[in-house]
Amino acid sequence: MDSKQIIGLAIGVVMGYVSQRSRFCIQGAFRDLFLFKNNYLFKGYLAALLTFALVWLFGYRHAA
Amino acid sequence: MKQKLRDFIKNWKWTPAKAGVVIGLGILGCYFFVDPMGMCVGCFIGQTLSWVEHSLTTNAVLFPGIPTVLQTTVIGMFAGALIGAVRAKEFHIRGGKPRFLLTSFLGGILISFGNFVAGGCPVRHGIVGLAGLAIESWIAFPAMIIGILLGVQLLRRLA
Repeated sequence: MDSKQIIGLAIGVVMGYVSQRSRFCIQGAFRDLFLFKNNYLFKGYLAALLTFALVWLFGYRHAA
Repeated sequence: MKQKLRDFIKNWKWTPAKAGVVIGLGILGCYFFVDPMGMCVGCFIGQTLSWVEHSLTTNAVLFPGIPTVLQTTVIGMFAGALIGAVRAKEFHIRGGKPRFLLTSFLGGILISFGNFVAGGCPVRHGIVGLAGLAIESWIAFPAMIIGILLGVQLLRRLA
């Protein structure tokens, strides 16, 4: 096993645990929003998108 | 102070908003360390299958014994979800009505078909693509929302 495999395994375990505990789901977020007018899951999608975009922007500026 | 910390850990609940931050960082980690596709079960299993097909159709060694990065990530994701379910005592084997099993089967075929024909993945388009300003994602994600609206209308008709 390479270090890359270990990193992948660790990221997978963390993401699997967190999404199981919180019922995180992107399609489910939109389904709840349109079908039940419930934004509980949608907040999760927005948080993921914002985190990704902000860290991406910051990292990109500092990597370039 | 110690008691406060213990209470904080005891009362910690993973809401989707908190999980979203972790998942955003996880997808970013996957993007940099694992594979530029981001994090996707369907894509990773697809890559594994095409690797097996490549091994079968050429003279390459089949199953070299070392799992690839994509495989360990998918295995880790299932393992993490299993750990979460067992720790919360939620783990039990569920049955289902035949109608529900049939719709699950058809839905599974549809989602994988859309994924491999057109890359219809909410992680790849909805998070990596939208944040990375990819034009295809800014077309694909509104189209996905139209699909969800159509599905919601169908569910309302059926219910």
